[in-house]
Amino acid sequence: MSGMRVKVKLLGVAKDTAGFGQLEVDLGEKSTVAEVLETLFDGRGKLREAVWDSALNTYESCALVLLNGVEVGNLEGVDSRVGPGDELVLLSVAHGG
Amino acid sequence: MSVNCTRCGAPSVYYRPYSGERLCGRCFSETILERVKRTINRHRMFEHDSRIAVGVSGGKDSLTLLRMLHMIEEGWPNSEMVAVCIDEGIRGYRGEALRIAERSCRELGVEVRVLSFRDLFGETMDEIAARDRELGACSYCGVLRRRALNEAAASVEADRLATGHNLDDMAQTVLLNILRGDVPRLEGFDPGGRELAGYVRRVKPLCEVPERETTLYAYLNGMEFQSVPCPYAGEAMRGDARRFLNQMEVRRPGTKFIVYQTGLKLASKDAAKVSGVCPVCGAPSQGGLCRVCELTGRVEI
Repeated sequence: MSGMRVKVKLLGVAKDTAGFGQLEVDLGEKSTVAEVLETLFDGRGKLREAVWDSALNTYESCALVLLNGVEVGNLEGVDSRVGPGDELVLLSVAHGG
Repeated sequence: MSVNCTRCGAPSVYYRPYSGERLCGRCFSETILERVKRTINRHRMFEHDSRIAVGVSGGKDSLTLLRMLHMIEEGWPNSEMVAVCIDEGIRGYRGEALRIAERSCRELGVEVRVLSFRDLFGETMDEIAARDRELGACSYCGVLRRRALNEAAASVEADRLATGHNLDDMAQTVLLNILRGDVPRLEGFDPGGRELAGYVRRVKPLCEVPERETTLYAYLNGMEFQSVPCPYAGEAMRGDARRFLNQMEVRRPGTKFIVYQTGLKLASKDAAKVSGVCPVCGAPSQGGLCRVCELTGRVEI
């Protein structure tokens, strides 16, 4: 199965928590935003805690997720499909400021 | 592919859960500006010739506020704006924020005044936090920062002090005051501020904008983001209120606005006014020592 590469950018507290500002993620051909996030969170428990609300099973209470400039709540949420070369921006909604 | 913008028909980038609107970037930014203008008018926050000190921390809320007031103020040639920044002396945190704040002010051509905790109180927040203390760090920082902002606003001869408190902050405050049984604070809840002797009137023009939307506004308008969280943030009870309200807002969109509106309804126009002065520093005080002297006395500065 041919894969694809997606660029992920982290902004705000998510960037500090992860220790990096961007990353390229390799995924299967038919992947969703949820799979990008799962791959990103793998082995990064603190990042997951910072941007994913496990009680509600969503990012919406603590972050914004933009796929090619569109907030995914305006698409199909984390079930939105990603394509080769897509850019995902994960932006913490952090208190203070 | 996203649905078209509710207002103009262009491709939309954001779905607003509490209203059902889908908005393009430009219309989203416009709705935020319109809401801020309505808030300013509703609470009569400014006069045509107000000299406004804008509390700028370098975070996304205060930078959004600075930018919005700068745009609004262009239509009021007799009003003036000065940014005031407070350096609490929190190593690794405030430095980055102040750099962002000063750069943003320079870009907008807004004058900046910086005051530090060390200048005003003789100690940094790190030094206060390191001592044996009865209360959480935020309890000291909040009180001292409010005094510092007032001093900074007075030093630039402002008659208004605008801060970047957003809808989330306001709803959390209402909930916290209920949880603590703090009826006087509930009665004094007023984003338009009140005239109190010794205080520059404090106004909160962003009070009806959710934090999620100040964040998106900052991103869509290319603002710089602070990445480092305050190292003391975990200590505050406000964190509990924030988590609860964030979850309720996802389950029931519009919750934060309802809580905020309830806070306005519970407030009283006749809330107790400050009647005395602190015997140590002379600042307005309900009776006896002011809160700043009370707290700094407790940590034995």
